[in-house]
Amino acid sequence: MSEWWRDLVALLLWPGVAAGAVLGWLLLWMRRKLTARLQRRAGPPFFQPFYDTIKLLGKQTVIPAGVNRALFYGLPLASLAAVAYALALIPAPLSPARGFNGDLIVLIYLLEVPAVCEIMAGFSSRSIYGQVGAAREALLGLGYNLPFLAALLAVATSVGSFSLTVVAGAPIGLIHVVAALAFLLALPARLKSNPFSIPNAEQELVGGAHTEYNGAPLAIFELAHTLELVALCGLLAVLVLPATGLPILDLLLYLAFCALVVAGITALAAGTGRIKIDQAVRFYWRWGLAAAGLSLVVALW
Amino acid sequence: MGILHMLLANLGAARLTHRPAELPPPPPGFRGALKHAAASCTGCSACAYACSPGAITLTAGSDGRTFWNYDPGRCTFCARCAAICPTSALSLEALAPPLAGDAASGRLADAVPQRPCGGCGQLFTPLPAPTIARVYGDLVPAFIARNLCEECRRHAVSTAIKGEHR
Repeated sequence: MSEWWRDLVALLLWPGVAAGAVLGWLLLWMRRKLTARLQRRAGPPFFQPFYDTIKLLGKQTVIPAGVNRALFYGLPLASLAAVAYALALIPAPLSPARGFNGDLIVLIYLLEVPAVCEIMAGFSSRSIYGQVGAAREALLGLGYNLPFLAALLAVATSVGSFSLTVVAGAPIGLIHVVAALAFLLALPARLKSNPFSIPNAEQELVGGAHTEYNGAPLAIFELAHTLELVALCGLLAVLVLPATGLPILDLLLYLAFCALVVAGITALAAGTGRIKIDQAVRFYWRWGLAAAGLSLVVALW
Repeated sequence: MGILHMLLANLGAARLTHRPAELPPPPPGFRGALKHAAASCTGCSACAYACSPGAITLTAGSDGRTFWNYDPGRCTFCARCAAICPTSALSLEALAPPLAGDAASGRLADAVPQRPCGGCGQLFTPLPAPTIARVYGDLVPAFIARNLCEECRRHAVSTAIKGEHR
């Protein structure tokens, strides 16, 4: 019984939806502010991501004619639920949840759901921009999943367990460095950030898979993306950071590492332009394959 | 690595965009918010005629007074009303109009002034002093012409002319 209560707190509070939303909005504001400063602009005020969510929640939802209502409302909710559960699984410092053997596999599946929901949303929205965005998201997924999954599987193989708590608590070795590099290679494409911002290319695809989304469903989708950002940065932090003795210090290191990763991703995004989908897939099937191969070799060595 | 140098330089440099409070002053001749000197307005409707988007309208009030109405939401700040106004009652000040919160803010409704004539006692719209001076010159003393309605003014002018030729 107490396990069930702990898992609910982990899902809803920390590291779940509430803390994930707050931390995600902070990281999102950091991205936008840093991008602005790098472009000599002012950037949005601190609470802007929160204001954006509240604004979208208050708008009327307009469903285009012929679009399946159940999909239109259900896909954002499925995306949010999956990412919330993924967040709850991550063994962040001071997390009340207790992991189970194999939760790394569950985490991988849960983190794939937002991408699948985005692809389905684009295809079901009866918009040409949505369909092209969804198709490019699917293709890009074929690319970035190679180093992403290889990094996680390599660490799990090297540690010898598919339990996230065991993987997080393992001492740092060469495998962690190589796997972190492969993870970071996949991260900009997962976050749809330059140079891999192909699925949501505003100048080419208006809104990508989200073109026809508005109102509360769009707010839920954006919240799911925000939580996905926190989940991915948190996952990397948990894999790479060594455990110090003090939980508070662990927590501070966790937050600082997330901020550092986001700052790096933002600087990359501000300094690069968008590449084409075939260039992106070729990049991932060349360098992603190399990184994946290297991490698996180091893991099995 | 030019982009890297550019990014580092931008990080240390100040922002180029202005906040609303820091905007530079408008250039001379800038056409901003419309100002209406109601005391000089005669209700001639030339401005309503010249206004292409229909921002200026003259309406009759319930008590028979004429109202000059202005909707800044429709205004294109072309200044044709100020150019055509015979009494120079309209001017566009060199200041950007304030950002409106809703459609109704900034709307003006000025009553065209009316007062009883010094001669016949009927309500009339007085002409402003510069217009009196321009139209009547030295024919009739200005302080008399200002208080007379059109009929009484015409009578006063014809009396003045007949008196000169007597």
